[in-house]
Amino acid sequence: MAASQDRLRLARYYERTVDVMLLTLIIFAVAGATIFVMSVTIGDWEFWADWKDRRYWPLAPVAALLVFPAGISAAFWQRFRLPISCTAVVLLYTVFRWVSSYINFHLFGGYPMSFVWPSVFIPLAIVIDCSLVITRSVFLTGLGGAFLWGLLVYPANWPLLAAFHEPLTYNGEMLTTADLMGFQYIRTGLPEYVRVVERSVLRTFGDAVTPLTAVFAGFVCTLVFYVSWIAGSLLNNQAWVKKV
Amino acid sequence: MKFFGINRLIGLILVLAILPLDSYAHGERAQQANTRMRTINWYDLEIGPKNVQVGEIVTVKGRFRASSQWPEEIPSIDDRVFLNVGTGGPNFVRLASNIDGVSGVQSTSLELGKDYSFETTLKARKPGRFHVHPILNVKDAGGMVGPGYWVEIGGSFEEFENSVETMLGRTVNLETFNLGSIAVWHIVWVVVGGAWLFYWIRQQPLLVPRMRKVDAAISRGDDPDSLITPTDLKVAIAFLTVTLLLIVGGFAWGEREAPITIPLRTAKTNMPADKPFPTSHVEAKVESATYRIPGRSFRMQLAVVNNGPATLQIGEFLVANVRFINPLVKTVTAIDEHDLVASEGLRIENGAIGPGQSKLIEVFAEDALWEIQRLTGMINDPDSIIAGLLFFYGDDGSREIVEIVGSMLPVFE
Repeated sequence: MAASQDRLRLARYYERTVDVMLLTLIIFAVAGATIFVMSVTIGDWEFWADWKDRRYWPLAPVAALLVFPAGISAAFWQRFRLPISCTAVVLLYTVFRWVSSYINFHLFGGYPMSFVWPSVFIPLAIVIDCSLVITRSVFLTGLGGAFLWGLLVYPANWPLLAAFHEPLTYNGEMLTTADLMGFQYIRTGLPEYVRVVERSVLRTFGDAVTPLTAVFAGFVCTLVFYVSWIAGSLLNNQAWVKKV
Repeated sequence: MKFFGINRLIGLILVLAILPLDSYAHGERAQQANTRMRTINWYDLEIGPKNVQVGEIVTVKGRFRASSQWPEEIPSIDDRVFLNVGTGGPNFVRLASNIDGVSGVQSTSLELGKDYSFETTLKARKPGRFHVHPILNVKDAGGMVGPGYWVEIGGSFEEFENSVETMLGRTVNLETFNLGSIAVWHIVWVVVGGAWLFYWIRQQPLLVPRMRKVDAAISRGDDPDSLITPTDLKVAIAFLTVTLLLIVGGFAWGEREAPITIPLRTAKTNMPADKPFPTSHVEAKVESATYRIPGRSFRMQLAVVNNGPATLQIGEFLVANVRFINPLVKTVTAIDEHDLVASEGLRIENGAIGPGQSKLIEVFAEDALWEIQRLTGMINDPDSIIAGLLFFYGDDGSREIVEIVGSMLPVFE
């Protein structure tokens, strides 16, 4: 009886160790890979205040950021029925991004934190994880949760961003506060024209740039979610691992 | 153990030895000589005052000529350019900048072969000693860096203030602008996200038992979704509701805090279209140009025609930001240890050119700056073309600036 309890305790100990190792390894590795990929692809949109426009910033970073969380979600859902990986990866990504902005751009680069703050993505990840639990359907999660991931990035960040789009007059020109920061805080290698931001209004739909971008971002994110989920499922296939 | 200890010590010493302890420049010598000679010729540069306190004003002003010999493989200035400053980061804030009096907040476009004046007003932000350069960022080509001077900033960063007033009448400090809201909202989402994760991972052990249950359900032909309990479902609905409410509430709060907003400004500023090309009473053509490598000596034979009323002499040869000065015509001393001036580097034979006169003159530009500034690297360029500005000074106090260009032949012995 005692020996049986000892074996049970030992088994639980090993299982807890597996939990800690796997969760730490997978989540940290994926979050690390995410921040690396984001930094070398669409990093500038993610933190410079004067890159957060209403056409490209609500589209490119959110679509790129979804790749790893959606892929790892496939593994965690199929293996464990655990709807946590989107939130875990994005939460860690956000923490890493804060550390990166603070050390690299504030302490080392000398820019005010208010000019290089990371965007908010955590609520979008929660929406996807919750959608997975509520619908228990990959198809519906992609259709609903991933669509909301793209759709809601602008309103989720608006309480942080709105003040940066307040107009002011400077040397006779009208600028946003973010534009003024971009002009004043000198970036030798990143002149104004390098910003990939909205340069003219859309020719159709009147002035409805933001809602149109939001809906398009939702559509793109739905596609990204499905593709990433399929990729995650394939990579999660043990038969494939055995061949390696 | 001892072996590893010694190895670590040696490794540490090597790392410390190769680490740059301080940076003194911005790689202005890294650009190909060819690019520096045939793009932007900066002259009459003034950067000052050289010693200021935090919060005081420094001005960077002068003129530049966009070379008519711009290499065709380098994107030109007729698309988009931005007048910038190289200071190794935001050690200053830029208060204003202009090219020919046109505001430089936005980018603009320029024309090859024309002369432009520029001025940038900076406010000292961080204490330290900084090398300050004017830079013209050219779209798809990069920064064309001008000469730099050292500026020393004294005082304390805590004394620095950068407040502006918005059109809604709000005075804001850009150093800490909206940081409270940014931090609070991030903390809120980290807490909500952390709570969601805690709900799921609070049960330990987690992964192995769940994996077994999923596998067992699949092998029985059951639905593994049965692992999601009714409580899980309720919690997920609650979290989704709270998340959506916070997003909607935050959006409304943002709208209330900043009721009037505008999109980012990206309009291109247009320069006056009727700006004339610079004119001169002097014509100068390079008949031959050689660079003798062992002696660091550049020799150029020029055919010069003086159509002006004054007798002229060459006082300066400007090439890739390096100024070779003829001491018989003008006196220029280096302002600091990195000033690109060869005060006695220019020697002219058969130099004075009278009004209406045409003659061949020999120009010798000799200084170690050829090597130090890596200008002799043009020997390795596919075209080895030398270009720069010649400054002629008249006996009546006038100045004529002429752009020259020619092929350079190296002499190896």
